[in-house]
Amino acid sequence: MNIAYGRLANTTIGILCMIFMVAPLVLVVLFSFGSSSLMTFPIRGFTFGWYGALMARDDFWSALANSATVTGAVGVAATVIGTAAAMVIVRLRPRQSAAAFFLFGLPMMMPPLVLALALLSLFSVLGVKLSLVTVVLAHLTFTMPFVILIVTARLRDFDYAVIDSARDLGASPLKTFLTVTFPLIRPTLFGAALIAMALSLDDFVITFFLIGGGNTLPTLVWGMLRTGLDPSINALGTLILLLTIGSSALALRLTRYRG
Amino acid sequence: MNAEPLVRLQGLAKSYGIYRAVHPLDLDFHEGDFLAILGPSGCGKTTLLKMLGGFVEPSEGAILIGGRDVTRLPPEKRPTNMVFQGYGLFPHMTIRQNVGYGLRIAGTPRAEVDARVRDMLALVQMEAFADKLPPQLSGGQQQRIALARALIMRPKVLLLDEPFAALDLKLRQAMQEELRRLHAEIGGTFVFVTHDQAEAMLLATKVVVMSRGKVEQVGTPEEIYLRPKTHFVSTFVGEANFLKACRRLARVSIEGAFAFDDAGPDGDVLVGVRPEKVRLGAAAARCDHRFSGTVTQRIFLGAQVQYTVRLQNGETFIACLQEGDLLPGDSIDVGWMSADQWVVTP
Amino acid sequence: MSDGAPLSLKRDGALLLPAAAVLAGLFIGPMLYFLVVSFFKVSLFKIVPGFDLGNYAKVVGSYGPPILFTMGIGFLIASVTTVLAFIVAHLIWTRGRRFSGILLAATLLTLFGGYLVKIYAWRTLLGRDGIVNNTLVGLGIVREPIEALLYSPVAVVLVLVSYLLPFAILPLYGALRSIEEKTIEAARDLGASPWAAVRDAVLPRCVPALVTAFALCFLVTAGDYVTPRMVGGTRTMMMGNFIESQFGLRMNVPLGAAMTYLTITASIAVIAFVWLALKTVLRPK
Repeated sequence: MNIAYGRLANTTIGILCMIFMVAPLVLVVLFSFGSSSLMTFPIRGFTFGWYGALMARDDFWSALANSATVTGAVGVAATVIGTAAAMVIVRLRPRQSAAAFFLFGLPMMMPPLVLALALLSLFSVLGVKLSLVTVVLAHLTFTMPFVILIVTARLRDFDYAVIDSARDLGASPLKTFLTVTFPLIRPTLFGAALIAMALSLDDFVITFFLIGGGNTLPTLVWGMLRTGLDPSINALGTLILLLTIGSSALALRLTRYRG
Repeated sequence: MNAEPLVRLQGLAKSYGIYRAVHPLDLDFHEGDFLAILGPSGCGKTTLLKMLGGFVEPSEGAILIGGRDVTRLPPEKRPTNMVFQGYGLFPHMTIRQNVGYGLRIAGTPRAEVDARVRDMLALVQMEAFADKLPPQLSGGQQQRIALARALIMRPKVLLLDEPFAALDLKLRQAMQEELRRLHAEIGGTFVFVTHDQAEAMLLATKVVVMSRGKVEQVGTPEEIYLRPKTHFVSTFVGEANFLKACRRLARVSIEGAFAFDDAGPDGDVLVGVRPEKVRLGAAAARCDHRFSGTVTQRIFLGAQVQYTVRLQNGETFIACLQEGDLLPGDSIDVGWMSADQWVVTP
Repeated sequence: MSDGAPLSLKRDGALLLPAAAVLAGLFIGPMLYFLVVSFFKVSLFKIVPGFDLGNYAKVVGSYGPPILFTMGIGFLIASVTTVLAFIVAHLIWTRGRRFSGILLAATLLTLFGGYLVKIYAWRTLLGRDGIVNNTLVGLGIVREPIEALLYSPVAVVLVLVSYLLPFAILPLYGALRSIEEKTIEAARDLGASPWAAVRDAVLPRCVPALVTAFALCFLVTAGDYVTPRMVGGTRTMMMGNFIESQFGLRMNVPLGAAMTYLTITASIAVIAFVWLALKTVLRPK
């Protein structure tokens, strides 16, 4: 009896936790299609109107363009730099690679506010003008550790005999990389890039302090929140969720990375 | 046999810091040789093979293949090809693409690549799998593809790193037979690494026994088995009985028993005899050397019966006979022929 | 054995340089400069270099209660999240494929997206006319909508636990996955109850992951200012809000830096305490 109760209690907690994590997101999506301007049940009527209202705003399109620029640049740069680092880290002794993970992982642990303010102070004393570039640089710090983790995990169970085989069969190091190594790790690299992009796209705090002028999608949400209840915020929220969750879902399929 | 060796290793050695993985060694082998590098794990045999393939850079010495110094050449420039432990097949390429990879890299015309891949797959009896991916194949099939992929390059020397280690007994025997057939069919020079003395005996025309980074003995399987030169080789390639003896002025004597001539430095030595060369009872009467003893154990092994005999001087001998009805406690004569014994230093 | 492989550490160590440059130039450098700034002074809205402990004295003197409040609420949020996350991770690890698959998918998908979206969703959920109050009133559990649901520390706890759960589940699930199920079976075989088996055979091996999960939740909470501002109400002022305001209205960067470093130091102390406590409590007897 006791065991059965314990099991049931745990299952209940698990289901509640899942609802707790997912429900807010589901509701935002549902209400973005609801015709009422209040977020209350029952949802009356179905409409694309809020999406129309969103697309009619000029600041939406500029924010989207800025988000695309930042996200793209972070995705490419974090993946290239992180992959290069992972190729070295995977060859270190266990103690050294643990130390490397700890060091590179530090920005991941730091609250974004602290990261943003420290960078802001340094940029201002160095006279660096705030722009999308400073946002991209800042985003590298906390997206890179994810890339390093994911790519290192893939390289750890990489069968190095295939590299030796290719060399043995006459391929130069470059040819080996192009015909064997890269095709084999390509899904992981795409996945790592998508994760980095999801993280970058979703960031509000760091972007807010370092962008200087203009908006990205999250800072636009922030602006809309402060100017009153505009239901097209649900449409914008849904769009952000679609982009971040969509790309991370794709990434997880590609990398089979599970923490 | 050609006078000119195909492969010549001159003082070849590998050190990792102060650790010597392979001590300086000299070794020649010839076109058509089927060479086994035999030794326990960690003896340096794989390092030696990888130096031949170009995957480990030697610390000292030189490797000559067909008279050309290849010591500093990277793997892709060497006339050798390797079958890797774990095979190293490209998981994202079909079997056909795997086998044709080397030829494509070399820029061979497409038609020729296709034809040679077809022939090679026929040779290893894998035509039906040409369009499958490596993970869809069984271990034995992957092994054949790895062989085909290396052989298609027509290497001057084919290197095999523990080629059968991952296979179960039945499959291993089938693949050993297959490799022997291939060597007979296409000729060429094969070098393989193994820790399995039976496999080395079965396949090789020449065996290199290694221990702790040093070559202990090089010879035909018969020489290695019947005339081992060291204590390590004696016990590694088979069971051995030893009698403590002493050599003085090129004469080996066992106290209270017999003596015979054997050149070598003075000192304590061991006289070795294989269990299946030991004779018991009436058969011992005709032997060159005899002891009397008592049977202490009888083990039935199916094809053979194994007796443990305590000799009069207190030492223990193992004898393997085809048959026998001796029982523990029986007194018995133990003997062997001079030709079946060897002398090593302890 | 690996010196013939296409990557050698000696030759290719340079591949680490760009990442090291990012870490040094964009993280360690700014953090060190920020530390230096915390000893500067502000005079007439201008930063004056120097060595002055005044900022720290001021933080300790005037911001003691908010720091304690932040540490307290951080401890509460991180503890609740870590415990719930362990339960969920354990479910993912032990239950059948379907249930654990759904749980894992929910965790992984909510991990990477929607920080702001989640916060404002909760704001509408918890409001006077929000779904939670409507449901409670509708079911007759309460007569009047509970005003204190929103704009209170309770809302901050709810929102942050919901946001942080996936971040805490993943390291714990990772740690659980590396434990062979045989150890549990062995513990059960030796007479341990299910709970005792978890306590003796599982939890001790999860200490690093438990500390990681706790530290992550604690630090995010300690540095958050968006959640308290959006759902905490005017009375819920956490250190994040005070730090942020030094860079907005008040423009006192050195004071903000001192606040930051004191908050981080206090956080590390709490995390170290939790780590030691976990190690002691979960030591195999």
